[in-house]
Amino acid sequence: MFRKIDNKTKDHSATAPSYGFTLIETLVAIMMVSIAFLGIYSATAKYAQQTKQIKDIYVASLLGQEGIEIVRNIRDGNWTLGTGNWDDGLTSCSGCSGQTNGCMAQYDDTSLSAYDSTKYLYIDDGNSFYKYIASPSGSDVKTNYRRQICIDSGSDVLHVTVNVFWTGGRQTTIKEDLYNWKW
Amino acid sequence: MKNIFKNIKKYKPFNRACPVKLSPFNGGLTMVELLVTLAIFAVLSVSIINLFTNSINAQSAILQNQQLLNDSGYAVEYMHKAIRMAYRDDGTLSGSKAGDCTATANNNYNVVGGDSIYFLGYDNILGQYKCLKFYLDSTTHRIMMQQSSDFTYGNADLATAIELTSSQSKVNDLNFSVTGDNVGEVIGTTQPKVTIMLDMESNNKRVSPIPKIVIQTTASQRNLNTPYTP
Repeated sequence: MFRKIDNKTKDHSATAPSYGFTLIETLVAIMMVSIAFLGIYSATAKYAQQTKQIKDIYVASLLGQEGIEIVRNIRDGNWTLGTGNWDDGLTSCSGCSGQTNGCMAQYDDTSLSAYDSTKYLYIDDGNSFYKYIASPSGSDVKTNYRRQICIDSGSDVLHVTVNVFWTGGRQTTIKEDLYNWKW
Repeated sequence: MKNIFKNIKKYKPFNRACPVKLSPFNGGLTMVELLVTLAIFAVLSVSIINLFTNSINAQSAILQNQQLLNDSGYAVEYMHKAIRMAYRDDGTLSGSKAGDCTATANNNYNVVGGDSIYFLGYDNILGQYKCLKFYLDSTTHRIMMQQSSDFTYGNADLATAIELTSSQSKVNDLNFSVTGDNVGEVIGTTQPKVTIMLDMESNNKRVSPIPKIVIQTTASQRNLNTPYTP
């Protein structure tokens, strides 16, 4: 019994030299780990960029919704005034192509004016609303958003399209059909 | 038997001779080799650690931005829906007096101090209108909602406020603005519309710059002020 152990112990003579890693091996290993981390990092960077874009799109879509509501408000106002046509003030915004034609309006407007592609929305310092400011002061923040309201008339229908443009040729479009129909 | 004890004594571990012999040619690393290796390792590990911490910070910023979007989106959509469905405070609801909620008879909305709004809002579950109030709590920096008890319309007995935004977000500014004719039931008036502006940032200061969002939208009141007469 003990003889056996004795033999084993004797055989277990670690005379074969055990080499460590060479510098090259280490470098290759570190390089591979770095590449893996770079991959993760670039993915994260991309997600971060996309998150920012999502935020921009969300702001733009709400501004687009505001454009639709401004038009709807004018139509509803025409109804309740009851003096003119239901689409008064909404018929001269057709023929949008790119940055030309169409109309624009800010949140507290009750009528539309011709679209001007050089007019950007500002965040007004006084009450922080997004609006057009002809001569902005230093504390008014210029945003990258421009809003174009396009209205194509049909019979008893207005096809409203609101384009919100911002940095890098990006664009969000909101569409709504408004009818000459009420309860 | 004697032999066994002898062997046990012989093979006690501390009696064993070390079988490994160092080769006289294995000189180990020189100081220069060691220093170079350490330097390379240090440079590489610093950059890897940097990448790693940057990734974690970016990830943290992404999560905070998402939280901010969720919070602001929920609050603004909730208020938009409630505001556009407002009912003119003209005393025609059973048991109500004109101006119970908005303080002025026949008004649709009452904005107080820019950051709070009162109106008769629809309660889907009850199937009734109630006096509703949205406001910015300036100490907790959260958007709050209050409503009157069932089948009452007064702005004096509003129930406990409910938060519309989470504690993860800090609301810097909330603004309401009414344009158009707020007062209804008068011939020759237009529809009112309400603009909601919301300026929010993340409450978590871990990432820089702090995620921030300024959103604005407008709701045109759906219930028409006066019947249309062609």
